[in-house]
Amino acid sequence: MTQSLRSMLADLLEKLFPRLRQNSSRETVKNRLKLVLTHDRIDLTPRMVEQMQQEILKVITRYVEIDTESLEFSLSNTQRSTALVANFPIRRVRPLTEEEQLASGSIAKTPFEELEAVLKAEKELEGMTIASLEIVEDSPSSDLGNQPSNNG
Amino acid sequence: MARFIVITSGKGGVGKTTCTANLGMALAKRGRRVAVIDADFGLRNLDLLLGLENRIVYTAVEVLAGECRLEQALVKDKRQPNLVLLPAAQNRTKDAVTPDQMRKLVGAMAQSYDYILIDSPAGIEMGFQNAIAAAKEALIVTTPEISAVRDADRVVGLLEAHNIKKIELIVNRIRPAMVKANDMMSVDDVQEILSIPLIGIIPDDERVIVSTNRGEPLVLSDTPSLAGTAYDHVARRLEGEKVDFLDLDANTGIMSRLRKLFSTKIM
Repeated sequence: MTQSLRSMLADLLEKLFPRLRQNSSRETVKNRLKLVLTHDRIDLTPRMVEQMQQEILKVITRYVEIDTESLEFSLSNTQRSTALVANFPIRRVRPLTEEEQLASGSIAKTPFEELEAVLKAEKELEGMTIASLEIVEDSPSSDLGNQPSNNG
Repeated sequence: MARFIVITSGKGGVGKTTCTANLGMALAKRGRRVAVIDADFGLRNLDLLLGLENRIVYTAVEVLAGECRLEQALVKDKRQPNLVLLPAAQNRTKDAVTPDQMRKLVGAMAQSYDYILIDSPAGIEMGFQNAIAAAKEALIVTTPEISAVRDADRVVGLLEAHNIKKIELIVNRIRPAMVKANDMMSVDDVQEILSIPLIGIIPDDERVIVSTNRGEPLVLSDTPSLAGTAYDHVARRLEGEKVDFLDLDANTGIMSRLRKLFSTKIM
């Protein structure tokens, strides 16, 4: 009797404070399983995931400055398929260095053309900056519902 | 044409053989011609759960070696004449048979039966490969435990890679009170994680042990049991019937328990 009373009390408490459930062994086992299955299914070692993240990051930082503090990079599972979910909050667009501009051929040959080209590039950059600022606002670092990469 | 169904799980001890025995009997009771095949070479048990261990003369290995005809190896059940067992050899290892041989053996039975249930051994090695070689459908048996679900997930992946498309889930040994107390994964939790269609929920039932002791599958018993009913429902769903899942939560919810408490106090 005392036991059934106790479990009733636990039920009632849980109804009143749903957060209690998050500490239950049932929630723990679900989270552990989800994490382990994500890696089982994709058959990637944590090292490979880390390496992939570094390489992708390298490419992205060539163009934009990333807020590395709050970036997210994780594998997530839905309906027996695995997705790579990455969220890189952009601080600002990184202007091309002179060398890179040369390499991309955007610098013209005559001084007049050169000036015109630079002005044009600046205009483009401005536009991009505004656009990317919008991206920053659109994508706060979380709210995607995925697990952070270094959790667990 | 028969349906070839493998019963498998990855992890051992989750109830594959019990499930095969009960489903085979339940389908036979419904008038289907059923063959159950023990694919666990070297560690056979299906004969014990069916209570047919004393009637084995030949096994699948002798059939494959040409030492006897297939019909001589099949053990007919006296209680349920629609059911036959093809026993595995007990004195050989799992490497005694190849997937090709298994395919030939099972193929030879296709015309004479409606259902061919193949009881797979645990693991994902040769014995498992043999068991799934001839199968067109699979039933995954799991319990609401982390290791069983993980292994089940691995097996689902292997079955998909083997081009078995119809894969359905049986969650065994569920304990509603523990689920209620948030100390066990619910059927929904397991199904959400594995993402394959559910065909059966079998509650943890002591009578399963009693029926194993006697060698009489629960579905043959005259006194109804929760697990026996649940197995019967799986058989009916295999037949294409729409059967509601058992409501195992009945009388464990807080409101109903409160009501019960008050009614007993007052009366």
